[in-house]
Amino acid sequence: MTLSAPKPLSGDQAAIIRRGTRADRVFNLVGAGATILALGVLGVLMADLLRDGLPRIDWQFLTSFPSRFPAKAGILSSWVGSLLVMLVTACAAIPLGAAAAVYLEEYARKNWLTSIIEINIANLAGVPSIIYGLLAIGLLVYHLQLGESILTAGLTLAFLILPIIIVATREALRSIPGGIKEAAYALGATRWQVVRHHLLPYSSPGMATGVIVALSRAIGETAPLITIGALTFIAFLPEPPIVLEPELQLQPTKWLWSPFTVLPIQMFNWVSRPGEDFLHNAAAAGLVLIGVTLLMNGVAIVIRYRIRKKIRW
Amino acid sequence: MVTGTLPMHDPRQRPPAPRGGPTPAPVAAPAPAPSPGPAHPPAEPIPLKAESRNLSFYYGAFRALHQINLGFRQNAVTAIIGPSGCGKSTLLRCFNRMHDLYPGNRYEGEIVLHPSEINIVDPRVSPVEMRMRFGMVFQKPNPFPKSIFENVAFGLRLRGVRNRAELDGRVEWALRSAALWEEVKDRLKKPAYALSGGQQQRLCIARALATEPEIVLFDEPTSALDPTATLRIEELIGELRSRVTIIIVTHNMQQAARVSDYTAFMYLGKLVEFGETAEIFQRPRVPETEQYVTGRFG
Repeated sequence: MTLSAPKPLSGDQAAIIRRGTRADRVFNLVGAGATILALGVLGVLMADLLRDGLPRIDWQFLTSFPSRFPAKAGILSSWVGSLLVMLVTACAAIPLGAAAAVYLEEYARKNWLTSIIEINIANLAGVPSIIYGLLAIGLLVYHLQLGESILTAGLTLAFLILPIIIVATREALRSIPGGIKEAAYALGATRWQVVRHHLLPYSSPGMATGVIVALSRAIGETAPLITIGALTFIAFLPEPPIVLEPELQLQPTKWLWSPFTVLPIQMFNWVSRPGEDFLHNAAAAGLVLIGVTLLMNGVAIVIRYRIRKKIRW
Repeated sequence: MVTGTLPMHDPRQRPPAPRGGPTPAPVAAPAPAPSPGPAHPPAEPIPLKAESRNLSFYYGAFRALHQINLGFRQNAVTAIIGPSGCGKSTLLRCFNRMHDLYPGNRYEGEIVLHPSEINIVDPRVSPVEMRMRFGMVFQKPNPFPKSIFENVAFGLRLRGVRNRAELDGRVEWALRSAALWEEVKDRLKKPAYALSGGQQQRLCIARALATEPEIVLFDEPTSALDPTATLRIEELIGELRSRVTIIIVTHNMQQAARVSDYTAFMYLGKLVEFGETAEIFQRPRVPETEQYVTGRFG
């Protein structure tokens, strides 16, 4: 049986092409409109912040404690607080997240239990942050008696970003070619030696990126810290680890137990005050927060780029 | 001692001890009597380095190897050929227990390592120990994303070599053995990925040789390389065979004919025929082997 040529297609081909082209143009316009709207709102927001806040950012603003006089007020205690809380968060979340990711990826047997854990880790990343605040107040503040301290805040935010770090690390581990792992095993390496000498170094760019993205989320978090009782007015700094006067004294962990405030809470406090001047302070603190976040994201990009150049397969 | 055309300089070499016990006679292992053929007539039998006895292997419920009985001569090159999916790589990866890395895999039967008489696939035998004793070269060059030096040194470090001078010496020896030293001696600190594909594969061979393995397993080592690089690897295998037992899996029949002393032809997870390479290619006894080596299927 031979294949006979099909009948020519019916219908006005020129009209079909015209209709198709018109739909194409319409979407071009709709898409451009959506993009302009989204970026425009962001642009107006940034311009407004810059206009209100930029004149307020100076040395005095960065080195002063909060005050009831808007012109004398500053963000010293809140940026130091943010920094220290982030330090605790990073120190707690990175090892925990990396260990959990390596365990799930390389050690755990694949069965229904690990599947459930896997699904839940992905879901945990979407739990509203205030829920973590409730967990923290129950577990850390009341049960473990850690107080309304930098330690509590850092651990709370560590719980919050743990799923993000686990997911990022697992992605990084999965992107390592199986051939490289097999080569290491074939030389007689144990699982831990493969993890220690190959998987962890090779996944470090992906992990670093995940960590910094997670930290830049954590640094803007307000709700869980208010839940655990962060103060809005702090006119002192946590005690330093080394005291020289009146006599040399080491107190390396004392700052962990100190009350604290952080940048977003300081902003929230100023926004709720009457008067235009406090609003300008809030805008200035917001700019600092945005600056820090952009800086962190920049660092993430640089790290990824530099290590990726070294590690290739 | 009279040796044939096969290079046999290994002091470990010894006449095969008569095997006692109820082990089944290997069906396809070559008869120890010298074959009348012109190629490689061993004046006396070369001892076996390893021997599979009724070896079967399962990926979950799928049986990939059926009762393989095959002897591997010491300091000789044994090629395993066969069409895709015939189980040749599966067989090779039994030797260093690579299958243990993935769940659901199961061995049956044994691979006996001579002279220690260890059963390689016994679950009580540590896979790490077996991997320490054998080297493997993979299909695709897979250097670590580290420096050239660190690639070769990793296996030595795993074996506790800390002394810098000793590391340097052994790394140089391995790179020389893999015919790569002259090309990389000035850039040992440079990343391995900067090498060409053929150089990377020779680096992987150096990495496998550095720890002086008893057997080197080659899993289609040239399938990702161009003809020139392939030729160099084949020359290298020729140079190595006087020093170490080599098992090479290849889907390139000409390669098997060029580099190996013995050839095993596998099909559908079964060993079809085994013999001296010249015999397999010139006077195969089994019709399937003949059809495969003459290119009529596969």
